[in-house]
Amino acid sequence: MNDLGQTKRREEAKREAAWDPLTRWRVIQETITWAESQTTARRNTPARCAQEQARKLRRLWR
Amino acid sequence: MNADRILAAMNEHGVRCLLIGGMNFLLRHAPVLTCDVDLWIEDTPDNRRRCEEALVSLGATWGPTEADWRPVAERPARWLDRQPLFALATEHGAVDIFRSVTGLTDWSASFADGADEHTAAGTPYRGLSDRDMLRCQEALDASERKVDRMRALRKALGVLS
Repeated sequence: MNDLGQTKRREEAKREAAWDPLTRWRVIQETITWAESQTTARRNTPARCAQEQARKLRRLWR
Repeated sequence: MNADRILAAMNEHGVRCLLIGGMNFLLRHAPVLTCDVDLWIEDTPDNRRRCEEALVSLGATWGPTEADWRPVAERPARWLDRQPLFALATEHGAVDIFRSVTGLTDWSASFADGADEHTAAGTPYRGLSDRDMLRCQEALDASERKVDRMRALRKALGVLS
């Protein structure tokens, strides 16, 4: 891993250690909610659920 | 997304289930973006009925086709019997209910091997073990495998790849 990669990993580890777990969990759920609100990433809709279900059923029955 | 609400509804209705997929990995290893909660339920008639009730309490919607999509509260009991997995929309985020899982054959064995955990907000859940999470990934086609996730799981298990 190059220097930049190592620095990034160290910085991320520091942030993880400093983050209160409850705040971190809240932020993750809010991030998912935000991603859901973007039309390109929306998952919680009938169309996407039906599409995802068909994909997973195909995998299971393969 | 309110994963706590989804897990709490399953607990409140006594559904015997294992948290699997990206949310289980996220809670136990590293934050990965996942937009659904995947639950593998014990596949017995009584447990399926409890799961149907929990899904009603979450305001879940589902349909055999997109045209016939509606609240599961309007469906006759035993609708969960009709196929091996369901992708539902709920008021709290997308939920996938699995009656069977690729790569795993014995729910009871996986449940026994699972880990009792809590979300940071304190909601209890039982998560699929790292070994079983890895088995699920290994059972997929190479193109569908999540390589970063497999690496993290192998590292946690002390398995050299």
